Amino acid sequence: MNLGQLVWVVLAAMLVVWIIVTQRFSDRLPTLISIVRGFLDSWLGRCILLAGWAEVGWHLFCQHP
Amino acid sequence: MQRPKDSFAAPRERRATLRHWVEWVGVFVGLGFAWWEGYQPWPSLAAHISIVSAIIVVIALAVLVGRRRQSLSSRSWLHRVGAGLRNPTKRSPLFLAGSIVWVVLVLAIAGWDFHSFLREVPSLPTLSYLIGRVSRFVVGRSILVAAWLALGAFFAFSYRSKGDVASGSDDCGSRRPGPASGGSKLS
Repeated sequence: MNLGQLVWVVLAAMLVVWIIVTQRFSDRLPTLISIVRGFLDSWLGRCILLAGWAEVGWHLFCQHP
Repeated sequence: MQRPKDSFAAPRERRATLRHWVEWVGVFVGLGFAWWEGYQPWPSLAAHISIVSAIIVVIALAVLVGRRRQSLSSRSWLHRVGAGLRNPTKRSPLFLAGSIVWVVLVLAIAGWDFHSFLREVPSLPTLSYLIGRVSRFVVGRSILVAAWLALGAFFAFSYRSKGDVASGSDDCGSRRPGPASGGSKLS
């Protein structure tokens, strides 16, 4: 495993741990779902998420991987 | 003269059953699409047209299903975001620290991806490159497309108000929550 892959593994582990921690203490910490839900409360926030989703789809499935 | 309760309940049940069936049809269509998409190589015209079509369909459905079913107007939402940024200390210190951790994590991921992208060396793969290692296989591409479609459907349909909001609308066709809705009823 090279340096780049190691950093990605560490970042992924930190993200997963933080998601679990925030979910466990969801009454005191902002969870991933509460952040997404904050965006989905309005059309503008929903449009921002959908635009990001469309861009990710085009990038991952139609451009050179 | 009042109608008996059952005459209201029956159409509601029929609508719920119909909605249930529509959701299942959507799931099967999405899975079929993801399976077919797995066989399309990324540079092909079929892959490009199908992905763009999926994007258009999901956005069109979001507009269609979500018409007048948004709990906040865009203006109110911007106001809420601005108020939160101007007065972050209104929240508890723990909540604030949690928010900062989220920001740091997102910046770390984006920063490392950008750094790897600029260096362009095999020992520093970008996130796209790593995902590409999975999507080069038929099964991997199918699973990723299915996950991507599920995420799009979540963004398009989830956390909608019930549609019984009373008044007010912004330029996108959504309505502000009225007293009848309580502003937080979600489907």
